[in-house]
Amino acid sequence: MNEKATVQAGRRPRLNAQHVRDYGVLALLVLLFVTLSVTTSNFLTTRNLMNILDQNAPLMLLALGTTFVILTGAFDLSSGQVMSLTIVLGAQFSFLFSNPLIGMALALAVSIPIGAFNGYIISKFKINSFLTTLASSLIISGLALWASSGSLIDLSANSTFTFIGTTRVFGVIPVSVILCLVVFVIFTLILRYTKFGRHVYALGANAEAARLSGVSAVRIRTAVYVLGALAAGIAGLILASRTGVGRIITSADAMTLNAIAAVVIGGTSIAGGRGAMWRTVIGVLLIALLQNAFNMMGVPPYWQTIVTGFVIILAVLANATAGRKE
Amino acid sequence: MTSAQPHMTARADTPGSGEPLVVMSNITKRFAGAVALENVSVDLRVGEIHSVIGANGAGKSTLGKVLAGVHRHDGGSITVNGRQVEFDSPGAALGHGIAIMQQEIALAGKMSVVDNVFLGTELGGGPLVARGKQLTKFSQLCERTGFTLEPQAIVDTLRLGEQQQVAVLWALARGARLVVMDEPTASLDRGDSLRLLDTARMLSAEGITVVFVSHFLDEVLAISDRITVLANGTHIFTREAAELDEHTLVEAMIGGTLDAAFPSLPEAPDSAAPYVFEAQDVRVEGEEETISLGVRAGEIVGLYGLVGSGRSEFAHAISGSTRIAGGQLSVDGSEVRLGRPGQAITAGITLLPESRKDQGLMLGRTVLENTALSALGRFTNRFGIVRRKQLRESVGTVLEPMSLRGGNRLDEEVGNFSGGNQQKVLLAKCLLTKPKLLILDEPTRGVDIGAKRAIYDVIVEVAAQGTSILLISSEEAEVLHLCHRIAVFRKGSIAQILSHGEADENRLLAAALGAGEN
Repeated sequence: MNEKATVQAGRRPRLNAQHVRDYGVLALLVLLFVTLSVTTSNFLTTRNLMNILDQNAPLMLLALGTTFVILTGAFDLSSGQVMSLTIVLGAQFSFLFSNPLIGMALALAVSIPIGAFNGYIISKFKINSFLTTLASSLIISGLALWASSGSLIDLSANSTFTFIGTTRVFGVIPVSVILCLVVFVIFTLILRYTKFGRHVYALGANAEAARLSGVSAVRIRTAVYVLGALAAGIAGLILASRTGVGRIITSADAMTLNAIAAVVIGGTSIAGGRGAMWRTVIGVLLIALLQNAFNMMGVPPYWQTIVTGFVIILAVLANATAGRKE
Repeated sequence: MTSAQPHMTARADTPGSGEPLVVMSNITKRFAGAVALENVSVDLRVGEIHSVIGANGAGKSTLGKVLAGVHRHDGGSITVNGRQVEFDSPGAALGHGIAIMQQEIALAGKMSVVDNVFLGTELGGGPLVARGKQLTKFSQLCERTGFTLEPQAIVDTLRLGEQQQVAVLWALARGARLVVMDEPTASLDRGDSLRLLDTARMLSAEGITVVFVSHFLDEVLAISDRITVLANGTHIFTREAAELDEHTLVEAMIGGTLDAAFPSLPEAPDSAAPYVFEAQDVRVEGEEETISLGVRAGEIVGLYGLVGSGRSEFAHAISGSTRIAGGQLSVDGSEVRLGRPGQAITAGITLLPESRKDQGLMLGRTVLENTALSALGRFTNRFGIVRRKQLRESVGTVLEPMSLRGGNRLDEEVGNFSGGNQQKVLLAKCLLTKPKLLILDEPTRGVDIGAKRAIYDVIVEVAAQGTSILLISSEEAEVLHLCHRIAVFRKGSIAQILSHGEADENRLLAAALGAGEN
């Protein structure tokens, strides 16, 4: 709809800094994709591509949820821990109720009050979101440890429990990828076509103008944190189902930060008010492809980290310099 | 400090007549296409007090900011002591001894006075700050200027007048030879204003050039050696203050602004007609006075008063943005209670806030999104989905009479537009809520003449269609020409209500200042 093409109509359509800012990452992703397809023989196979998507499904979900939060101009440092907690609770509840469907649904439901807590505290008392979610991530990780402190629940033999983590539709498409797609479509529709979506942008673009325009920061912010936590919860269910075991993951905080990085790499403004869900998909895919490329070329993991770091800096630079106006 | 000689008259005798320190030639400056300055040439002499005056939007602040490196000019040249210079930042201008005291003073509010004065030029060896040395230098500066500032006081706790003194010391600590003061007395009370003028004289006596940007003619005439008048971004004249009087200045200032003539005001509603909006004994939180005011359908009521008289506070309270501590509001005869702006909008009260950048617009979002924001609820179905086509049509309709230059630009970012066009978008945004009472807080602030007229036309048209309007403006001409009645605020309450027929500039000012009728 309101993409830059229509804006430029009537003026000279030429490549400028704004195009680079808006579509630079997309070009980069295509370039990487083509390069990998041409230079390596085993990249462009359905199997490899599906594996990449499957592996990165949890990151994708975290990042999609975090996009909502970042668009309002806030941070969520607790998403990885919500994911971790859901892994544990998913297994615990499934065992407890002897029914994986009920168990997983309950575990997912737990993420709602957590997100609401974050959003309400931050907006009602106007507390810094960075600190609030840092604190709540500690609380949640503690809860997750506590919940998993008993005997380890192993449901890897239960095919219902392991369905979303291990099944491939038609033997090709992982269920996790379909879940990502569904969440992506729903989030995109919410963001683009609902009043709520417009208010999300408004809150991030100018909080005071939004307030004076009748936008309730408490309501919007609470809702975006709930959406973020739900997405993280789904990510947790996928991980639980994949391993079949209710164990916390130690890299939860790193995944939180990776999710934020993916959002920023995609070109969503870290200050809020500007960005889109598809950008986050590109950000995640860029990280995923880089990783895949390095793996196939046998590059040691530390290089992956270093290069990812530089890619983030580049993305932020492109954002900052191209977005600067007179 | 008091400068020894009282300067109540123009002072053609003092330095001033000396050689030029700075020569600005053919300066042109555009903002997003709108011309702010066009071929303006001014020379500034060593040690003179040189006032730059003009109506709002005349370009006087822009000239000061170009001189101080805050804005970069698009055309023309600047020389300092005969050498051509190019300022790309305030720091570069400072390197040539040119400092600026901005309207919103740029100090580190949470640091102490002395830390601010020496910020960036800390005294001492290497990375260490010689606190003792700074304090000594500080007290020398205070002695020189006659200021009595507590060096360890935190800047945020000081009055504005004192903060300005800190800014002056800041400039002196950097060896400034020219200080630009941008509307320094606009927000000061009488006492602090007089002290500020003394400070300007003191600087001049020390051989420092003062560029005094203002629109207070009495101050300007009392203190200046020479006066430059700008109108619509062009240079009208630069003359010795001694040859000028208020009348000449006013004529020169409005010389270029005649085009901004006002549309004719529709007839006032019958005084027996009921109030659409009524405030009864409303007390704004934190204030002591109560305010009662009613507005009829199609009536434009002006709220006039000096800075700090409580107009904007009242406007924010009755639009749900701040809390009301007492009294009651009613719309169409039924009481409304407001906890937040959304409730006011639903009740039919919409505020156009004073600062479009901070309170009004999302500069990074499109015209469509900005215009729609307050009224989205009306364009949403029960599933929360926005009816985009209908919304787009309505936004187009409400923007139609604004003559937004450039045709259909609904999908362009608002930040790309000129101030005038941004203000039109903000006005359209308010109108889209279909308010019963529209509160306009400085609707033409920082807007070019053409856009001003367009905004006036819309205001009058909207009133003619039956909307009640409260118009807050610091420009006397606006309230005098556009309002059926004018409520003059003083010290938090309404001092007097003047009708369109009886109001003139003198009465307005007299009521605002609390002076007897004359």
